[in-house]
Amino acid sequence: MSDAVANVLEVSELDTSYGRIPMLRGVSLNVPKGQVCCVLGANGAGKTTLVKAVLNMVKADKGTMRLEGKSMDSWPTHKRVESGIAISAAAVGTFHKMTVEDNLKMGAYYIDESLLRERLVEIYQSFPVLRERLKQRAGTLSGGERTMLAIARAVVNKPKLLILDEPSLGLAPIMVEEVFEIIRRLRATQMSILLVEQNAVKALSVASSGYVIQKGAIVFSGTADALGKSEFVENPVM
Amino acid sequence: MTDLNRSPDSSGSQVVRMPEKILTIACNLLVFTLAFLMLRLPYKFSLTLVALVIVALLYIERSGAINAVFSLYIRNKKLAALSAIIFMLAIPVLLARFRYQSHIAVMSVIYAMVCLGVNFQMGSANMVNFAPAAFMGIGAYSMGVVTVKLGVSPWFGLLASIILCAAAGLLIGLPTLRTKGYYLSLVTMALQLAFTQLIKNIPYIGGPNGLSGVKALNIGGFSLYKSYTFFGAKLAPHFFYLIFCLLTLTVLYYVAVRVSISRYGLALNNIAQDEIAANCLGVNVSRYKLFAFLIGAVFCGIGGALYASLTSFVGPNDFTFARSLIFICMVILGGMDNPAGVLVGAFLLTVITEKLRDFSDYAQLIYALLLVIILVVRPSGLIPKRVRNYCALFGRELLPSPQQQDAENKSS
Repeated sequence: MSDAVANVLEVSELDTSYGRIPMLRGVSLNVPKGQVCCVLGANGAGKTTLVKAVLNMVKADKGTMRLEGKSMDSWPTHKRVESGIAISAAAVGTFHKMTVEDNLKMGAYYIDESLLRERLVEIYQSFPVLRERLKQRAGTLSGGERTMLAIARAVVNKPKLLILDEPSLGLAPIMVEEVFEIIRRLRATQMSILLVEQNAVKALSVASSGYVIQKGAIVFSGTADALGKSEFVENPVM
Repeated sequence: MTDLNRSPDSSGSQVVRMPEKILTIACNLLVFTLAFLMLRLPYKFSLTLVALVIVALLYIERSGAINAVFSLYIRNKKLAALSAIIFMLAIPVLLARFRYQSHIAVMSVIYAMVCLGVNFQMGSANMVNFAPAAFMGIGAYSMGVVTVKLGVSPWFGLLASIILCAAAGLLIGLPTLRTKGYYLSLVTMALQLAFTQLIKNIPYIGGPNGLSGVKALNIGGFSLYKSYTFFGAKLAPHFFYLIFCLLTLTVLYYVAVRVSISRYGLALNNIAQDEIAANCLGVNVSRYKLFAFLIGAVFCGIGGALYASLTSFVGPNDFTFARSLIFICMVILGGMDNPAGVLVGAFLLTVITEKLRDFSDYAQLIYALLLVIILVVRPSGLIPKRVRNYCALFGRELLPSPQQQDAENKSS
């Protein structure tokens, strides 16, 4: 990349392994600023491992990662979050025993209370469902509402990079539609999003560029249009 | 729940507010009268009262009345705190002439301190620490060594206890960063057993015989643990000591409440529920886990130092695994992650244990039976954790409620 700042996240030559089993091999990926970048792949391809490596929940054996041009290889998870990476994933649950409000408050663990109020007003406008359930325990929400809560919690802090790991997982078609509507709205606010999905058609409807990951390696990268026409999306056995 | 969510301004007119204040004081009066009676009455009545209180607590929790009581206290925070301190200080005065009852009171206060410490780890962060007695022992032995071996003021002993326990808390907290759940419990269990063996084998601190002659705390030559005579009435030696312990407990309780409602408490609860999620929201998990161990150890240490100073003797048999289990029982019985519940648990179990001394053959049986019954009926304890509500607690609405916001939208 000629202009380093044009990318929010740059991953180059990333290797990870679980014990002696190699997982990711030489993964390079760029998330351009203010755009949605999707990563497509089948189960076990290494999508979630990639996400975990970006947050340092899985240690990288090799490779470098940069956030807005700054090397973040030595940063622990909480520092990466503090620096502006937010995640919403199935592995990162909501806090069942706490109210929706407190869950949202946790999303803004690093901001001032005075800022929090206005951020939350914005959140209620984008997520009207949550506003009605503010004082309810998160454990009493439906699956769809919980996904909404997880996304809302991730964006309270206005992250530089939002990682969505399979937001459509386990949701009814109507809820999937709603989740992607939210992603479109977030895209309109110039938020940089790394969208990791199995649902290729849906993901490509919001993304501007994309990658395909297979058996731990990137096998295709390009614009969303090019990706949509490639064999990986046309061929149902991905 | 609706009661809890009501903002202080909407709670009604002045007419409604006046009885509310009286009600707060009455509630406090009831609590401390019951505590006094349990301490003062002979075992038959005392234990009957304990049973009644437990049943009553179970009932008011089930009926939801306890939420109303809590919101009452939260709305009238200052008044509740002030009246509670006054009533609390009346107990040593009323018990002034009864040596044994004063002793039970002091013990329950010291145990309450230790339990508040255990609660940081077990209640808030869900890390079951089986070594509170070891921390208490470190505190007690620091006190013993400083006063007996070094011959300095017991205040330095208290300071040494705090410092050494903080250090020990950090050290014992370190393995917790690597282990979770049962494994963590096993690690702390091993540490507790090792601690007892260790102090038995150090001749400098008396080995199995312990250290005797630990000095009581004093203020300018005025010993806090000594029998004084006032207006011809001979006071129990525990009188001033009990007052001192109660005031210390008040400070520790305040700290515990502040921690549990702060961002620290929030982070600990998050770690308990979902460590990965907490980390992904920017919580430095290792730091907070160490914090829970550090502050918990300091609380236990203060309790231990005060215990040593009270009994004037420290021995390895006071800080065994069995003692640790009792603290854990107190926290579970009282209500995990609720400082008020922990105090209740510590008090009730101490009173039950002491009052059952009169017929020691059945003491253990009754004790065990009670615990089993409570754990079956209410596993979350007598006064379980409340749902967090920051806004009501600080007397202001952090977030606009839907209704308010609709009004704002209409006006703009």
